[in-house]
Order: sequence, then structure tokens, then C-alpha cells
Amino acid sequence: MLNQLPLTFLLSFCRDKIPGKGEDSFCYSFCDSAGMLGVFDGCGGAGARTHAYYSGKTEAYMASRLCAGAFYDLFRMHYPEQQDTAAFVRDVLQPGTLEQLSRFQPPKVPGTIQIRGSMVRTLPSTAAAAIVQAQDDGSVKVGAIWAGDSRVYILDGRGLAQLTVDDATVTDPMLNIYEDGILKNIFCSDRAMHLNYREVVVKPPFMVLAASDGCYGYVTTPMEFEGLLLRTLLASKNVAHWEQILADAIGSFAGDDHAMCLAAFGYEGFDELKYSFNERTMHLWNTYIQPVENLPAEQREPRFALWEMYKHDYLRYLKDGQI
Amino acid sequence: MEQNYNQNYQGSYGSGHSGQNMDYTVDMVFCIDATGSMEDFTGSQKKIINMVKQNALNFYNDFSGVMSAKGKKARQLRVRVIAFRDYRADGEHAMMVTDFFCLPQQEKEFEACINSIHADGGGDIPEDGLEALAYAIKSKWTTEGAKKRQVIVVWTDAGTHELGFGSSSSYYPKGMPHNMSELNDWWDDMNPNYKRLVLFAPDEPGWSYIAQSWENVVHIPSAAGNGLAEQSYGEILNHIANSV
Repeated sequence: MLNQLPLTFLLSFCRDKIPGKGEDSFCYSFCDSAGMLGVFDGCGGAGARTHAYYSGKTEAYMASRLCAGAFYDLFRMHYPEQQDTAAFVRDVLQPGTLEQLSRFQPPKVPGTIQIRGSMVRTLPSTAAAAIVQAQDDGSVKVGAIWAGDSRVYILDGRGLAQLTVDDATVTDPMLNIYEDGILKNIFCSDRAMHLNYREVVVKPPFMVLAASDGCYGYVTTPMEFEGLLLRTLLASKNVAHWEQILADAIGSFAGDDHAMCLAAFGYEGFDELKYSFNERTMHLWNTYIQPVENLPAEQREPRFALWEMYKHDYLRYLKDGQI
Repeated sequence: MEQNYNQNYQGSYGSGHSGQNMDYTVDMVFCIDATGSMEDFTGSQKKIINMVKQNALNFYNDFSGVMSAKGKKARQLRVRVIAFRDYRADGEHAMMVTDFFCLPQQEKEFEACINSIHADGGGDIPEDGLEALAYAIKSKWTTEGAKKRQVIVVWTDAGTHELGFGSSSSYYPKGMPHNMSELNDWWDDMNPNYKRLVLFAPDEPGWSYIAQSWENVVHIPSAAGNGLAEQSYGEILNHIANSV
């Protein structure tokens, strides 16, 4: 008999910066012993071409939805329970999603000038997903899958930890806030790409989340993203309320569409989860958030100094030199 | 403690600590082919040079508008103009290079500069567009601002001479790259996170190579953007603004 996945709850949101033109998407699917949650961010810079074929939508808009649909279908149809997730990613998820993108390539319209160049891609989108699977000893295997700069995180009593490394010219999470690195590897139907995969085994209780850059990219330090998660958690009355005020809080400052899927494992319930983060929130607040918020917006150096302290735990799942 | 977070989580993120308040500084360099062939008429019976001048005058406003619609605000926007011809054929009139104009403060000077460009000369069909691009790459880009963007836009209806083609002219500048490989290196030396190159240029030698092999390029393969539908122009602005 397969082990039961200790899922406590799941929340998700996908908000448009400009209503109706949002280029983010998400999907999730769970069964007894395994689950998958992911976000997809259509790349508006590379995929700005619009097509009558897509009722005037951009290729970025279409690409994120095609990727989300492919991940959902492929996981539900082909994920082999208690099997090799890395092989599933390599042999099924990557080729299957690329096949889906190539099937929906927009036709060329005769007589029109085709915009091209190294910045232009056909149906470009990032992807970041986690496949979670219950283990015999009660732990959960978390496989982080990604291309581009959408991210998968673990959030537990030690704080937020990034599992993915951005496929970008800038990989340091703090520096990337200021430099906006160029993406080097994304889903698209006209260039080679690859899905990255990293696997960790985590003892519940913990949360895993997938987030697009609209969620984490508009704060001045990575610790403020954790601060945002925890402060909205402690201010919320239940899961639905947390989902709403977290999305609202991100939307109040984000300069981009923002999508997130978050799943909690191994908690008795929402109140226990909230309580379990009191100590962490107090530490984060006193050590990082208050000092950052007391700084003038233009002061970078003290922020980078705090990041140097914070990143030890934040990068705990990554090997030295991977960022 | 919980009440404290409750009171603060929204207020603090709306009070100046968000990335939305990070300032963008955008430098643009407009390289405009000013040779005689740009006097030709477009499909709508407008001279190509006039269409390009209008596009150049509108580009920064349109770009700022698209940025603003996406919640991105440029704290500083500067534009520099380079009008190019052919050193062998046009000698001292082969290249007009300005400093950066700060916009909107120097809008009138910028407009006067654009309007002073007239299409003339050029000799044979290819032009010295690569020298113009070299000048653009070596611009004194701003070092200010949290997020810097450096955008070069080229409008031309012709392919390029090889670098150094006009070096027999006494007006040919010193310090130019000797060949395409060296110009590649100059482009590679620019910060990949800041630089963007937009080519309104035909699918001709020089430009085609750059569009295929340089990073961060958007290529509109037509004569200086002639025949480009309004929708496509909007897409180009989105390509740039969405990548900023």
C-alpha cells in the first residue's frame, strides 16, 4: 500500500497586473500519495508577438497556459507513483510539454513582417513546479522542476529556502532584485531548452511553494518575501483569508503578474501551523525586517550586509557555489 | 506581537520599501541612416526619412507610456542621436553624433536635432552603419540608478559596409573596431542585463548577422521599419518594455 501524503491544505492565486492581459498561469493536482503544484510565467519581453490565431493574445499569454495544461495532463496521466521522478521529468514532462508547444505554434501570416532576433522566442514561458511524494518513513520527497526564474521554495521553522537556481545571467537572489538578469533557459518552441531537477527529502511539517517573479521580485531583499509570507500568515484567520491577503499584499507593490501555489504538509491544522511560525516570525522581524524597513530606499549596502547573514539558511538546500 | 504584524504587513509594503520604487534609468541611442535613399517614399507616400524622424520623436514617449502602463517608471530618460552616411562618399558629413539629451527637460533641443537631419549622399547602396553602431556602443552610459537600461535603436534601409571600408577618408574616426569580431567583443563587453538592440533594418549583410548572433536583439527586417503595421510597432515596444 502506498503511503499517504500528509497534505494539510493548499492555496493558490494568479493575479494580472493589467486585468485580462496576465501572462502567468498555474496548475496543481494531487492523489493519495503524490502531488504536483506549479507556476508558469509567459515571458512578455520574448513573447510579445500577438496573433489573430490566439484572438489577439500574446505568445507569452498562450505559452504559460499551454505549459500549465501540459504539466497537469502529463502528471495525471503518466506520473508513476513511487517511481523515479527525475526520469519522469526527463522522459515525459520535458518532451511532452515541448510537443504541446510545437503543436500550438501560430501560423505565419503571408505578407506580414515577422519580428525576430535573439530576444524573440516562439511561445516562451518559465516553469517552476514541485512534485511531492510520501515516503515510507513519513518524510516527503520534494522534486523541484524548473526552467527560467520562477522558483520553488520550502518554508519551515528554519525559514524560507530556495530550491531552484534561476536560469539567468544573474543567479544570486539578492543581486537579481537589482540587476534583473536575462533569462537563459525557458520553455519555447524554437530553441533548445532543458528542465532542471533537484530532489530533497523533508520531514513534515513544512510548506512548499512555487512562485513567479512577480511574487518575489519587487521587494528590496529576499528576506522581505519571507516576511511577507509570515506576516500575512499571522494576520490571517484561515486558509482562504491567508490566500486573499497574501495575494492582495503582493499585488499592492508588484510591478508584474503574480502567481503562487503553496501546499502545507504534516500540520494538525491552520491554527497549529500559524502558531508554529511565531518564533521564526519574531526572529525574522527583529533581525532582518525591521532593520531593512528603517533604511532609506536607496541604501543598498546595509541590505546586502543583512542578506549575507540571511542567506546561510535561505540557501541551505543548495550546494556551495550553486548561486 | 500578532497584532503588531497585523497592523504592519500592509502598511509597510505600501510605504516605500517595495521594488516598484526602485528607479529605472533608461539611456537610448538612435542611429538614423541619413543617406539619399531614405528620401524614397513608403507605401503610404510618405518619405522614409520623415517616417523615421517621426518614429524617433515618438519612440521615447511611446516607450515611457508602455513602461508606465506596466507600473514601471523611468526616473531618468536620456536620448542620444547618431545620423550616419558613408565616409568614402560623404567625408565630413558622414556622421553626426550628439551628446545625450535629458528628456523631457531637453525635449525642444532633441526635436530640433531630429528635424535637422536630412537625407542626402551615401554613394553606393551599403552604408557605414556598423561605425554608427560602434559609436552607440561606446556611449557614456549613465552609472546612476538601481536598474539601468541601455537601448540602441537603428533605422536604415540598407546593408552595411565592412568595418573600415571608409578608412581611406581623412574623416574616418580613430579607435573604431577593425572587424565584426571586434565589434562583437564591444557588444559582449556591455552589461547583458542592461543592453538591448532594436534593428529596423533590411535582411542584408551586417544586420542579419547581428540579429542572429548577438544577444538581446530585436530585428524588424524591413527598410527602416517601412511597411510595419501599427500592431507590430506596439509589439516592438512591448518586447523592449517587458524586458526592462
